[in-house]
Amino acid sequence: MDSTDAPSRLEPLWRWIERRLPNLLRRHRFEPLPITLNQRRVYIVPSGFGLFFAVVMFAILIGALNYQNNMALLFGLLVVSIAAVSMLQTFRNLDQLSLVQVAADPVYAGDQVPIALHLRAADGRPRYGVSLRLGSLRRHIDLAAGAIVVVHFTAPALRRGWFSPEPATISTRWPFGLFHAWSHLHSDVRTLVYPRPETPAAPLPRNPEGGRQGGTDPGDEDLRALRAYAPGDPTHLVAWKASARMGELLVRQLEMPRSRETVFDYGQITGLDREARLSRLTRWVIEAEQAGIPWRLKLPGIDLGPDSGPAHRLRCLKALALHALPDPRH
Amino acid sequence: MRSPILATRPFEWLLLAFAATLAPYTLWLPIWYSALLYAVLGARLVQRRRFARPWPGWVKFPLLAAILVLVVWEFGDPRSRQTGTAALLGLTALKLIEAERRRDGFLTATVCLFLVSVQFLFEQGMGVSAYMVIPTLLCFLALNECAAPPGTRGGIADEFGRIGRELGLLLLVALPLTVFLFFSTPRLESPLWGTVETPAEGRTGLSGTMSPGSITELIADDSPVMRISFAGEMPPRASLYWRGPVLWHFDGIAWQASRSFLGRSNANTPGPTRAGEADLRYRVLLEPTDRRWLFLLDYASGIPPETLRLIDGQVVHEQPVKQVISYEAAADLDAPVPAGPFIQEQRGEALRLPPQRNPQTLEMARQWRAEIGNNPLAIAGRALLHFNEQPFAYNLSPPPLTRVDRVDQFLFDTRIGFCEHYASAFVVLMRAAGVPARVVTGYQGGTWNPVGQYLLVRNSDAHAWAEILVPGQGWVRIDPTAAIAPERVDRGGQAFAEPSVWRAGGWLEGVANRFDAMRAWWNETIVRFDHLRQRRLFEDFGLDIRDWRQLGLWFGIGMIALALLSALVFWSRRDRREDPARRQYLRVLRRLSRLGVATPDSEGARSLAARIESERPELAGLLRPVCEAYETSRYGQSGQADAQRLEEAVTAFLAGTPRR
Amino acid sequence: MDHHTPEQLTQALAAAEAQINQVVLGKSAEVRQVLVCLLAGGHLLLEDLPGVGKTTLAHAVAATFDLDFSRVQFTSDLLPSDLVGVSIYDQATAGFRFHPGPIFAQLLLADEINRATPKLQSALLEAMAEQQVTVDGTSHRLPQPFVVVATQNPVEQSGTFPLPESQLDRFLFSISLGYPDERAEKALLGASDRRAVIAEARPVLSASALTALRALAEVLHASPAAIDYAYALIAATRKDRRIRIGLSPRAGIGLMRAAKAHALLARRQHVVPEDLQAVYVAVARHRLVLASDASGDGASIARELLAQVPIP
Repeated sequence: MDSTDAPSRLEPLWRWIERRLPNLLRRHRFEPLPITLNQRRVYIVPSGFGLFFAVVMFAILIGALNYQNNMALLFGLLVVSIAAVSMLQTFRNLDQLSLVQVAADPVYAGDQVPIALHLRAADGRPRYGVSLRLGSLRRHIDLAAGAIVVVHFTAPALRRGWFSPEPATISTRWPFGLFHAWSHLHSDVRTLVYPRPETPAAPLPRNPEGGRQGGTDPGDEDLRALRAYAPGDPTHLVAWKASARMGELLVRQLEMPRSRETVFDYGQITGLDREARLSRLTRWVIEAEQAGIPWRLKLPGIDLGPDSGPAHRLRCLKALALHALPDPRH
Repeated sequence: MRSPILATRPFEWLLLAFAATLAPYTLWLPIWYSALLYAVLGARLVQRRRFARPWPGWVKFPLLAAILVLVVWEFGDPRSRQTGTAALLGLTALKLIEAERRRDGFLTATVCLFLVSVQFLFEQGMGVSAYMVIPTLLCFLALNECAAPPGTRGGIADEFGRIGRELGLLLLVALPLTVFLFFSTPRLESPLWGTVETPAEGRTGLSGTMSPGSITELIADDSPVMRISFAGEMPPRASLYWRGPVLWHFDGIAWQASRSFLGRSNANTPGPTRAGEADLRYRVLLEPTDRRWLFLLDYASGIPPETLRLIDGQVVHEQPVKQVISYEAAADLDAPVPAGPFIQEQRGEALRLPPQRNPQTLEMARQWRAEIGNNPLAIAGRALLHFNEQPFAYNLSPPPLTRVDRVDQFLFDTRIGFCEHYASAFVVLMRAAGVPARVVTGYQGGTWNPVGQYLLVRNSDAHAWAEILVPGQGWVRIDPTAAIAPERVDRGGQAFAEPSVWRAGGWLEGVANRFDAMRAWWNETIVRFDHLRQRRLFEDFGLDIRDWRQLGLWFGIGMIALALLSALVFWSRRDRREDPARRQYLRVLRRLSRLGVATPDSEGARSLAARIESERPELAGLLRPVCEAYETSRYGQSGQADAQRLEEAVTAFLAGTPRR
Repeated sequence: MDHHTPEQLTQALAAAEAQINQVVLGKSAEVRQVLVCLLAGGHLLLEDLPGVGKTTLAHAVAATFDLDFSRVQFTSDLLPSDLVGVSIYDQATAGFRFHPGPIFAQLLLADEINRATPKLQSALLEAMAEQQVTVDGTSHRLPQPFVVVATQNPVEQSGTFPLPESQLDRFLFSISLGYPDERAEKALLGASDRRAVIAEARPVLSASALTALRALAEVLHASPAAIDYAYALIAATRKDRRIRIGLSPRAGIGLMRAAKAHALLARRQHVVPEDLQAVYVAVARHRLVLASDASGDGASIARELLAQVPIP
């Protein structure tokens, strides 16, 4: 499919085909937004019903010619003409339709990526009965003249890293179901899939220089870092088991003295494979941000922070998502 | 994968489409059958509104069996066209009973379209044809509803304002295409397979017998029989005798065609088929009669091909006339019909009378014969004189003849009647006087239509006259009615019919004439367009339709023209009716979107300017004045100055930005 | 305090807006909405959690516009007479004397209106609609201008009586303040007590000036194109499948009035589409009755319609 894979002698041919029929070849190619459909990218064939209809119409016309019945012939030709012209309308129902925006939000691996396709009729005509398919999901919409219609899909995010939604197929059979017109929409929009946060959560590392050892019993460790509950403490920090034992509300003490900082160091986590380490780091980043602790994230070749706040978290999550992955575009 | 559920709306459109398709069939379907089908449709509509579920098998299958059995029982031959059509109508109704899926909807709509075309096998008149547009459009509306995916509106019918426009555009292109294809589709010279015989369906018109009252019925019937255009001037109406069936056999009450070979249709008689130079030439467009006979002026010196001339002078077609046909003929007006072969058999048949009937008539005829001798024309003249001298009257509602000797009763008692009485009595008189005579039925005269420049003959112009055999001349036409009521022949049968607003002169007659001219045009141009006429049409364009290359060229030209038309219709600019300020602004928006800037319709000019400020600062400087001027001229209490400012700003923007 | 020309009036209006923004920090968009509602002569519904500054806002508005302010905390045991007042026998005059209730104010803050009984709600809403109250057969005219700022909690809670749709229609605007952003909240924490700030606020516009401004807004030019757009926005709510009951004609009139007020605040001589867009969500969100299977709330659907309806 890709022109670069083709032998060099065929390259002009491929280029020509690609120029004429971009849709056929670019099914697996990313395109920048907005993608506007035109006659080179909309394909149209008779539907199954259209073929059946053609057979019936052929029978009517042959019968009319044979019996020299001009009214039946005139009628049959009228129906055939309407059917033929409806092909133009089917095509026109997609022509100049534009994918103006694809919104895909970052998620954690294993979640569903929400994908919102923003469609608009660029030439100000209304559209009817347009179907969109992404993966196994189908949506059917009408578009008012000039309006932007948002179509929501979800797709499973299986692995961390860049996630590109698979191409959406846009199709229509309007007005009479006789023809099927379709095109592929493959935008270059991508989103990040962060590593799945580890569950159950491992406690945050306490020591700036020493990450926690995985696999130690967290219960004992917690006991050393408990303090009495003070109003305003986040509830997720309450150590319920310990509280039950001690008879008063205790919270895990996470806050470090001001002079020290929390360091989440990839290299300090041992005994886990790469993905598990990233999962744990992800969890820590999330928790640290929720607790309002400044933190520093160390990955091989990357050192972020110390800092706090949502922006820092996003920076860290991006680094975690893309750790040791090649960028598919380069 | 199962087809999606058929929603209520498409289903009801489908039901409506089928009901409309069924309507013209009710004209010939038995009333109980139409009522049954409509009842099933009604019940189905009510039921499906309550809950969408097909009817159970114990309803469906007995209904199916009942419909099939009743149809075969009613129409007899299971292979006839009527039976097949009636059964298909029933099956379609039953399909609707179980239609719950979209594919059922597609199927039913297609079958409905098929049924619309089948209807034309039975009737091709202009009225029915015009009506058939309704079920056709309904079928497409139903298809449109069925094709809309779930959750979308899609329905043309639903939003007739906006989508109806789309349908209108579609028809705008489809109709010229239809007309082009109609005239261009090569017609077959002979059918690929045999035509199916259809029984007569009770058309009105001359019946081939003449019993009391049969012509009165016709005289009340205004429907057209034929339209005639003459090559030259129209001859005087009094010479226009359109010859139809010749009646020989009289049983005392009714006249019938000869029971011997004389009246048989396979009895051909040679005669001139090419007209002489001085003969009257004319062209007839005959409405379907379901009979073989054609109506020609006497004496038919030129008869159309594919016709036979019978021994009694009648001209018949090879097949019954089931569609409008046209033929050309020539006449040597008022010339006697040559006696032809089998003269002895003809004489014998033309002298036969029912035995023991009408003694008074026989007696009078014998006296004339004794007085005048063997001079047929003189005897005929005596009879006409008799009709003239005695108090005979012409009246379309004569007192009924009830006695066994009906001719006696008419000639000596009631003396009131019209053409059938006079023709009948006259022929009886002639035969009794030893003059061979026969009754000829047909039409006399007609109405000149100045709009269409043709003569319209209606059933109300039906007439009966007599012919006597004159040795050396042949069969000479004698019209006894003309002796009683010359105005019948001069002004036509309508002179005696009930007065009608459509004939009273004035504008209504003009409307009637126009309408009939349209009907004539329809029959001539559409219904009768066959391979000969098509060839002639193409010859006008200098094309030979039998040459495939020329035909291909013709199609190519036509298709290019239609492609241009559709481009014009579908891709024309659509901001023509816009406000002038908006039109200017839209030019800028188009340029912007070509430059890769999204310009949603829901964004105001002010917001657009603000957005461009940050997104494409290089465009902002030129765009800002445009947006400001547009806003004031469109939303402010603007004057000419604002419009001017906008135009300048737009010009500056378009000049200052790249096209691509 | 005295303003005569339209220019002076609109300048004073800008000053008033600035002053309110000093009191209510980080809510300039919402303050703008409140002023639009005030200028359009409508009542305001605030849907919010307690403690986000509704009272402060109402106070600031009252102080800035020199309006009599009263606040009523609605509860289920509050009686109509507690709100509108009561006639008491006065022995000195030997007759009934009307003691006006807290509703006799120019700006009434009706807190948690959905906690009141339907009877009390309808008493308030009748007063809002008719600008008068009737006690024991006698009608008492409410002070002018009369503005109700009602609040209700967005969370479904037990012991509440949700307002029926017909009564929600009486509120021109429904807005939500929401939490202040980070900077504003920090400023709040660091700054002095809001009550002190309000006490410092001096009247910038008189109540009569407000009436004059309302009249100015009323006569602002709305072009046919703007009216077309307003109609399209209203019609869109009646066609949308997710909406069971769309905007009423009254809401349409309100939309136009609010857009004019918004244009006046922006010192424009005419209504532009952005004015309609700015007020549309506040006008529509509480009035849209959604179909049972619709996802999202009135505000999100209204925002979506804004993105869909083309400007004619």
